[in-house]
Amino acid sequence: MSSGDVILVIVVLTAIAFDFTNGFHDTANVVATSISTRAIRPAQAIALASLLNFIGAFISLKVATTIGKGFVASDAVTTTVVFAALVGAIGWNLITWYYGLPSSSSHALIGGLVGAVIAAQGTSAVNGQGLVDKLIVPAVVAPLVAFVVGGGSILIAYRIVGRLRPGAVGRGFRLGQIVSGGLLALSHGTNDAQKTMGVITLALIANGNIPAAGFHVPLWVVFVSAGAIALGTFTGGWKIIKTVGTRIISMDPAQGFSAQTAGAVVILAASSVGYPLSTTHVISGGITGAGAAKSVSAVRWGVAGDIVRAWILTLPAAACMAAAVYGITGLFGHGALGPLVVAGILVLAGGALVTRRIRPVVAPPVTS
Amino acid sequence: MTIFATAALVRMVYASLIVGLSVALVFSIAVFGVTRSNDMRRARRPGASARYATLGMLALLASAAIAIVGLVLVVHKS
Repeated sequence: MSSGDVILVIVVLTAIAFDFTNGFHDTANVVATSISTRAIRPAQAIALASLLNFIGAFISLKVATTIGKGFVASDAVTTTVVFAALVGAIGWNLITWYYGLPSSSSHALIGGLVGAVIAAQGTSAVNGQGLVDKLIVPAVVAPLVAFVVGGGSILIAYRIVGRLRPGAVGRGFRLGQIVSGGLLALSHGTNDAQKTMGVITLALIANGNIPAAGFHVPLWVVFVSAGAIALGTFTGGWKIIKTVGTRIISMDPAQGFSAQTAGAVVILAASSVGYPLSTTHVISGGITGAGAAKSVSAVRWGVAGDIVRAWILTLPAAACMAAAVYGITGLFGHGALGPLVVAGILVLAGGALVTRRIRPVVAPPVTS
Repeated sequence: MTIFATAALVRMVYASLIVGLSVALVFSIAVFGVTRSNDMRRARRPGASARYATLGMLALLASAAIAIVGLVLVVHKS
């Protein structure tokens, strides 16, 4: 096994770990609304979300293609660059988790990729227009669209069923939430798993396992990415069972249905055109819209502001971390020693952070 | 001069708005139909109950159709 193959194995394992933590971290976003309105039992919600996360990973590959071809020149990418990108993204996720900042794993990954490529090849290898067209503008627009759809949906629902018996209406929308929550999990699997597929494919191209021309994602990469995010969702879900009902937002079933539908349709529409979105931000947009349409004062705008601030910070911070990781890796030469040492440091540092601050992973409440 | 590509963005925005608001509309009508049908049945008005039940079922089918067509379009376009 050559040193390139060793680095590739480290990269694939790191990418799988990233995908797993993505599912783990986002479970709360996907199932919180269904659980908080008692549309479905926590264990059932998490099992369903895991299954649909897995299935969702198979319905589209456009986002993976965007990750692989849209932001950086693929001939500028080496396995060490992909490794540095992943470590930068994981490192930033760990820091934001430690300090309780709402951050986007997706933006951290793309920021890491851009930072590592700049460190390796300079800014000429970065497709700035691609970043604006396929990342920055959709990242601003999509949560706003989810906000409008969530708000518009709840206004329509209240207009139609507002004078009926609340109990009967609630039962109806709880049933609807099982489907809308399922669609949300499906959309989450579609968009988020593809980001990992994209970086693993980039590493395979860099290592010469698949040709750069005619970018395609191998089936085993799809399976591995789908499995990792589904397993992460399943594992992460059990933590929120203990805290559900205390920190998760309080919504009625019609609001839950509206928020979930808004999140699902925006993420699916974005996936169909290849936009790698922050699913956390889109779902938060839908929830905020459904909450604000009922009562503007019910929304915890401070939390929404934190999300915006963290989003602005994530891309440059992850890019800087990835660039630093690339530099540190280079100190050990061009072989596998650098990635091995850095991976070891990451495991130790991550373990120390997790040990110092173990707390339940729950969705940031955006409405009171 | 275009600062950023708009075609895909516009497609995402209008697809989200149309599908999201349509699902909310027809599913709310379904809940309305089923709830009113039960109310009419309790009020011993079987004719009205049947009409509301039909409305509810049709709206429910329409909701399912929108969701399925939406998913098929996502898979097809991807």
